[in-house]
Amino acid sequence: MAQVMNKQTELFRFSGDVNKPDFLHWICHRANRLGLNGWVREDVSAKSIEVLASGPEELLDAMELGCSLGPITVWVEDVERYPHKTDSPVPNGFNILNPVD
Amino acid sequence: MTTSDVARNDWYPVAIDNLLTNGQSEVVVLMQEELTISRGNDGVIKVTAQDGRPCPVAINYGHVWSSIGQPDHALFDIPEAHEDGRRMVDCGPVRVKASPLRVVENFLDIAHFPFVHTDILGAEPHTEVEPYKVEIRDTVDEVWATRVRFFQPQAAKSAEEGQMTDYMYRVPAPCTSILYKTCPPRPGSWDVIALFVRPISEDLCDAYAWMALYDETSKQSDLVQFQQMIFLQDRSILENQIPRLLPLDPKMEVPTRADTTSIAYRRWLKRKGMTYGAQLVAR
Repeated sequence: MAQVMNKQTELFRFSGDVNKPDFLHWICHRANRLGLNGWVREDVSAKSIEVLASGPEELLDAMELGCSLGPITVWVEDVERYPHKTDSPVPNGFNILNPVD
Repeated sequence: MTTSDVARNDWYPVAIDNLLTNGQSEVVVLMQEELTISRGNDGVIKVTAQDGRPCPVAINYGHVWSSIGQPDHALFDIPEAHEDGRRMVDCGPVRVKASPLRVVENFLDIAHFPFVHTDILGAEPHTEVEPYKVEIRDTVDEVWATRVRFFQPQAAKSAEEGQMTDYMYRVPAPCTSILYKTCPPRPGSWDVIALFVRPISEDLCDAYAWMALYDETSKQSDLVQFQQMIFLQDRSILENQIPRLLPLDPKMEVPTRADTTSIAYRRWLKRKGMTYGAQLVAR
């Protein structure tokens, strides 16, 4: 029987010189490649990028590591990562949400 | 791609000190520029570029170092090189058809040991890399990985049986990596193995291994052969990596926790603006 990997949901905040439009699409591409569910959005006032991602821990690790390097146009200075508790499951797919101020 | 100033103005190994005799000269290529390294009859070494301009010279760790630019910093220090009782071993250059940055990154990767250096530096089923600490130390502008532990069937020439081996990795310059590992005959001390890489072009380089060991029994030739065997096993992997340049955009890759040092190295290169041998945009 195939081993079932435990899924979890976490919130990531990437800060630094990160507010570049291509970073959002880059993150979306990465999440889809990893098969993660969730969303990404720009937090304009905090000058950071928020990512909610749901999937196996190992793939969330891969998401964090890849995004900490990111495309050549951005510089990620800091990464914060928190468990995210929610009553409703994260919908399938990964989307870019409207920015928050 | 133009050679970045960061790359131009750094130190690189261009010759092995004790193989260059008085009155002798040799020509090497550093970042597509020919350099002539000559030792006069007075023993003084000079490095001259093809257009006749003199290049800076430093002699340390058994090697002659030079630059096609003007480094504004001294060659990095390896304090262990000055400790009494260590044997210094120059292993000589190995040519690799790969980016110099790929070669350094490979040296930092422990997860490949059981699969590439089977029954020497690693063996199945001991394939798991335990969590370890990686940091870019801003005070010294270096990458360090510490608290690295891995099972090795034969950790060194002087080792007789398998053991858990402790490691530290240090990257003091973009084309240099230094490995500290458990010293089997002298618990509490570290053996030091360094890889100094000279970029010939963005995807071709010479890699010089150098060691500072506590080992009073092994023959010098055996120590060199052991290290060369390990590196030649790596070479076949390195020369088949795609893309040939080191991606600074990991869009097409899926790094895992075991790649934390690699990601820190790439972040550090990106921050420094070291782009020679790097692929900037994923294809």
